[in-house]
Amino acid sequence: MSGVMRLGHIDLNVLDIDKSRTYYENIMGMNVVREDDNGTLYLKCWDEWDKYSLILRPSEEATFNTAAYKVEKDSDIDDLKEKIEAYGVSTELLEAGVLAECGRSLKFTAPSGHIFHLYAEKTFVGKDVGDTNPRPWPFEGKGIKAHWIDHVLLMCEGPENVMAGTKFFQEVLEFNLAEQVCVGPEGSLQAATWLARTSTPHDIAFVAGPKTGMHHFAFFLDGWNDILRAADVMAMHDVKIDVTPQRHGITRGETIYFFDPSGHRLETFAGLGYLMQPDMPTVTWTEDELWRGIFYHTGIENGAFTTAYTLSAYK
Amino acid sequence: MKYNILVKDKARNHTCNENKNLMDGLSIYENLVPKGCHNGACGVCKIHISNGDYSKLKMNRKHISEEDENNNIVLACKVLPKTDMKIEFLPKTISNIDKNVYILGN
Repeated sequence: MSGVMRLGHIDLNVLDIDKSRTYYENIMGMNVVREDDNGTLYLKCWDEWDKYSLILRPSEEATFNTAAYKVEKDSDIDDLKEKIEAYGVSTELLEAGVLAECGRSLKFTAPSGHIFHLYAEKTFVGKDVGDTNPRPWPFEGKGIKAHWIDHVLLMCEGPENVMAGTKFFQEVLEFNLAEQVCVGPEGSLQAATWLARTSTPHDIAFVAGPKTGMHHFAFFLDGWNDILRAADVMAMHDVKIDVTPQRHGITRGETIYFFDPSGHRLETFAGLGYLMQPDMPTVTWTEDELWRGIFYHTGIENGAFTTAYTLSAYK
Repeated sequence: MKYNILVKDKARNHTCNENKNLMDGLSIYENLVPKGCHNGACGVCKIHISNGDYSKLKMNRKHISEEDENNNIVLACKVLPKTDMKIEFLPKTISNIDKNVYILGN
């Protein structure tokens, strides 16, 4: 299957780059793998093999820049450029190196209102455990030792932009719709959607809100035990936890929501949820049960889930 | 050292430790401060400080302009008390358009 493979990296603006470095290294267990003269940091998780999955830029704002997805082949960039433009979305082809450590990339603003990059090549580094007779996890390392960046949930201005973004990701980038929250007359509006290219329940999700932005991005952990240990590590470091360990109805994920030093919401998402396949029927959550879908145990709104999130930098 | 913080919009007094920002310090009391990210990104905890000395960390310019900051309009999560203080949370104005699209928060 050619085309988009997975979420490649997230690009954020942060208020205090030193605090952010300490946080992502000591608590999340990432490594800084590149540092630019302007202070921009690039970080990688131990179980990832490409150079980086997170870009942190020193800024006067705590905002969201872009999400980048990796495609399988360089020719996918040409194919998708044609497809995206035929859909009526303009694109910009960026030379190799414009995205650090990446080959040429395609930049566009999706109908969801967010800027995306697609790239096929990024400097290869390898997992910390190597690829010959590897240990199951690195003995070295700090904090919760997150495996990889799993998905991002983006906030769209209203259900119209959720629906426009979802349709674009389905029809043009060939994502599959795993789950949806339907509201309004006879459930005619998608207030939230979860879409996948991998075999996990989501590689991207869209939720309706008042402003365009990023609700959270998630780090993968193995399961409940790791979630509970991660919550301990967070409390030991005075991390502001938004939602303590909890089950999602939607995706079936095991979760903690918490904030980084600039207030960007992060998630530790554990368990694979279920095997996502292109022919799996879409799961629908109705308006009256949507909080059961979001927080399965309590079934009610919790924390700052709907009120607090990062705004896009360019809006 | 603990200082007394009067939250004018709630007409309630509670203490906040000098080494905690106002959000972290006051959020342990029920229904006193708005729910937010406690670190700057969300902008939910905008306050006007009418009395008291404080130290502050960098504000998110997406939510607090230089002019705001000069007029003691700041994010509570970026303010640490140095004396007793009087503060007021400034509610987020939600336009009718925003209300229409704010599905999950209704």
